[in-house]
Amino acid sequence: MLEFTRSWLRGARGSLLWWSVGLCAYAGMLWAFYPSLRGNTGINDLLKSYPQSVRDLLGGADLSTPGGYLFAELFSFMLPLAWIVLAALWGSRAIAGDEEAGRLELPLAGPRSRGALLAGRSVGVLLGMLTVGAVTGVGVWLLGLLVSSGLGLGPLLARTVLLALACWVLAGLALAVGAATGRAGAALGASSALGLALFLMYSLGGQVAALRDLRPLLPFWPALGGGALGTFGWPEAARGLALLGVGLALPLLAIPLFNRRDVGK
Amino acid sequence: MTTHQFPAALPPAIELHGLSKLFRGGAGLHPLELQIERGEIFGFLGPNGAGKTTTLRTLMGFLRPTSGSARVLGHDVWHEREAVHALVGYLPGELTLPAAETAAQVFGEAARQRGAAGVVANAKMLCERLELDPTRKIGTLSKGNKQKVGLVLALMHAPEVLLLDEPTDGLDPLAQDTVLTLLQEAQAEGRTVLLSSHMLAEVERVAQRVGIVRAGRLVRAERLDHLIAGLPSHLTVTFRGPAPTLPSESALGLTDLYWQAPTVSQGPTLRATLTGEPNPLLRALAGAEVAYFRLERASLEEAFLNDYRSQNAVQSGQEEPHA
Repeated sequence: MLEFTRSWLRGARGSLLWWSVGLCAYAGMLWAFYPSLRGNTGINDLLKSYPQSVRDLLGGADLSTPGGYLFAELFSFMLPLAWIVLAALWGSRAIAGDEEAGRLELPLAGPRSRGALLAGRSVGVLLGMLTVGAVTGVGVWLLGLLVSSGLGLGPLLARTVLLALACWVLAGLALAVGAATGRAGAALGASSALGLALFLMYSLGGQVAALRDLRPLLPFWPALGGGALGTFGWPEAARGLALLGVGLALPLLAIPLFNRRDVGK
Repeated sequence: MTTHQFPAALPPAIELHGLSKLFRGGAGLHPLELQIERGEIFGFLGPNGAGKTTTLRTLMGFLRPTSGSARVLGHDVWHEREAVHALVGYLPGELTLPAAETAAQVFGEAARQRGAAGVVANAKMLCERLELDPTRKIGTLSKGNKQKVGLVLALMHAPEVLLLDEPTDGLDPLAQDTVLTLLQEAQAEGRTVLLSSHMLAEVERVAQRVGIVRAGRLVRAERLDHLIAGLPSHLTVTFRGPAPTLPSESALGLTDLYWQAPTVSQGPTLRATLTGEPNPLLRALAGAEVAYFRLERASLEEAFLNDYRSQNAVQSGQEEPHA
């Protein structure tokens, strides 16, 4: 199984590198603007003039503080959306995309089972998501040092890794749909649509009473639920493990369907 | 030709019992009965879309049989896929390899999957024989060299059974020759080859038996020497003097007979197709003044094409055209 993990990670090296570099570059750009906002209470007065729903979308954060600024500009919108797309792309390509491109017959011609291939590549996608999460967390922290953000590495890393795990659940769904159907489009569509719907539910949850109670059950809650000043401890770690487990369970549940269908172009 | 003796208890290399794989619209493979013995090179012939690749992909357990069963070395190809894959080397007809990796990396990964000793060394030897540089990235390789990568992947673990879909596709004549030699060597070691090919000459060179598949049906499966013995021959006889009086065409086994008019320097020329033994013809010509005599057996390719043309004509209700 691990040879499939290794080979998937080797193939995804370039994608992993450029997604990490791109997100760190974006974070660097954000930090470059931050000194002009530091301690500027006027920006918060401006925010107060916005409707509550817009303020909720920005995490209700104080933009004059490094944590609040980063939460509003990076975590409340850009990073979740980028990683929803990344998770859907990686998850749909790992089995169904390779199958449609005719690249699945050679790995499946070996003496390992289809289940081992699916499990191995799922672990590869998980490690890829965790790596992007960790590299982005460390990159944002390092770049923050240039503007003396004063943010701790631990909470920042915990937030990016938990967000990566939330998106990993969507990658797991894409892997499952791809393995069950062999259709990359269906896998990509299902996972990205669900991801966007869940994120919308999470974002609107602060305003819509019917969704408010659901928010803690959504995959984005462990990473974003605490807002800009969120703390991370064992409960968050447990939720992170739960996300990891759900993301792994989805492709494993698809193994019987993968075993029963025709594969290849 | 080498004949291999195996204990009767061992199952055949490949056995298909009523195996079918039908796709939507009815295309695919219709119930197929076939047995390929161990140590045999079996040529699988047919035009594009005839069902050769579907047969191979079903044997690899990639396609679920619609009915019937197939076994490779006694293992069911659908229910015991991994056991079959452990014993089989497979070259797909459409080979897609990771462009960013080197051939050596791909071989290394396949060797780790196989886990058997000597696989990497075997891959290195095959690269040398096929003149393939394994250090180059696959994306930079020509079509022929990519095909060589696929061949090394199929052969490197010295599998008991080789399922090869157009193995010499894109190769230069020298590499084609090396591949056929490798297949003959595999056979000499008692291994079995199912060789799907359009290259009839190469099948003729290495195969002991051939199967001809058409529109998803196996229309013929027989020993190659029997098939060749039954092939018609092209006859050309030029006479010195006037044309002799010959018995009827059917008595001589001749068809498509026609006479070419004499020229200034030579007499009339008889051209015909001879089926069966040439003895009646030779006896009939015994008293004639023959200036030139040529009897050339039709190639497998010609027989194959004629077979197809005649079946197409029968199917479309047209009269079979004469060659």
